[in-house]
Amino acid sequence: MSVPSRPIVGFLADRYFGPINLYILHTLILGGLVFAWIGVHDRAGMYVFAFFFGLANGAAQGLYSAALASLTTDPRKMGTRFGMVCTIMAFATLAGPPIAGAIIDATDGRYLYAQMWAGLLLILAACVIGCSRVAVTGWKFWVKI
Amino acid sequence: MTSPSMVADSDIEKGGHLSHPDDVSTSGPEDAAHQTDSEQLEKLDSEPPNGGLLAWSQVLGGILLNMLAWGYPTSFGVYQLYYRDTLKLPESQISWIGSLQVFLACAMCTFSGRLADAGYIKSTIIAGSFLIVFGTFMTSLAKEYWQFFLAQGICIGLGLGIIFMPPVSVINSYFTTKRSFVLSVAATGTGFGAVVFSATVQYLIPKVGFPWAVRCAAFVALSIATLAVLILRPRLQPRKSGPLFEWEAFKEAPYAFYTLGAFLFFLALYFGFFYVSVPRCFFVDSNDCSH
Repeated sequence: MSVPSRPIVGFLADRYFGPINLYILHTLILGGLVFAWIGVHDRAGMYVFAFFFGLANGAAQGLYSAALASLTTDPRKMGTRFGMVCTIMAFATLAGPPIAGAIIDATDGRYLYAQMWAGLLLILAACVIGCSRVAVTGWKFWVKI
Repeated sequence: MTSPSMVADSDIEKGGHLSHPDDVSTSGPEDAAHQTDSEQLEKLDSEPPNGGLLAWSQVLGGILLNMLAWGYPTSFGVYQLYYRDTLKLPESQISWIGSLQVFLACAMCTFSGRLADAGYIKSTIIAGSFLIVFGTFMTSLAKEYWQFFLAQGICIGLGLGIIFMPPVSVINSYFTTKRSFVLSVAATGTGFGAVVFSATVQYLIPKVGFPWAVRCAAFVALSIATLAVLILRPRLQPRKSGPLFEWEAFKEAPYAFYTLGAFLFFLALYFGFFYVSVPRCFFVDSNDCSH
């Protein structure tokens, strides 16, 4: 699902909303979706959930590099600056699944608390990236960034 | 705003190459030719084309390298099934191969990003592609767990991390106005790569056996990498000096917040990846998908 959603969201980011704004929005949507996942109990529901999760996830990951590019004024530092974010992110990809697994094991194999953990983290991530936006634009709502 | 100050500001922004017209008059013909060369480069530095065949072909190069860098690791699900069902390796051990591959692919980005900024675009991609293709061939020969771990987890993982940064850096230098769009178009390569590499291995294992199926994936990777190396053309003057880590970047509040936000985002996201992934639901006919 990520193939069609990425260019569309990228186009909207350039033309109307700005990549950072859309990245924050999609992180919030993903957080909301993880909470919605708590209510999914059958296979059909899971396919519907996976469809929307893939859509939002593809959009967010496509915006992830564009958002950083808009925070980097000197294009000749793009590789280094983006690379450092990726290296730090590498530890998150390594630590995330075992933490979730440990939460699932500690709560007798139920997904509920792991889902709440992931959902809250995503909403927190949106808030922190929101801080990044405020640090650039100040407290203005309608700014394309 | 008076125009001279604006001109000076923009010159400094573009890397601080202030031209010295005096040099041309005093130097010989060879130096003069050199001077016009570097002036042309400066001109290129200052005006991203934002379109045209060359710029869009760079986006194609980006799609190809994204197919490798992020699409290829997605096919690990197919390998995982083979290791579990045919080789009877324990699942917790198998998943370490995939985790390490993704970890190294991300962790190497600081080094490959700095190399890309220093202008080593093609050599970086060639080195990374060599590791990927070599690691894939070694995977096809592997029999024991530690051999898969070395070849697929470490060797391929390092290669994936090395090739990801150069195209991002190159594409970014060609566009200013359509930047989000082109970077996200390049990111669609991930989806194509996931389909191509998963399908290659999944459909060929029953037909030609695991070793040759994996070798076919290696040839696919080799042809994708070769095309990408032929297509990519670096545009900016390389930034050779400067440290590996730009620690000052963290003093910029937007960058520091962004990094923390991205960390939290991926901490939570891979939980979703591992437990929601649709391929898992299609390939494994079990109750993994609902709980």
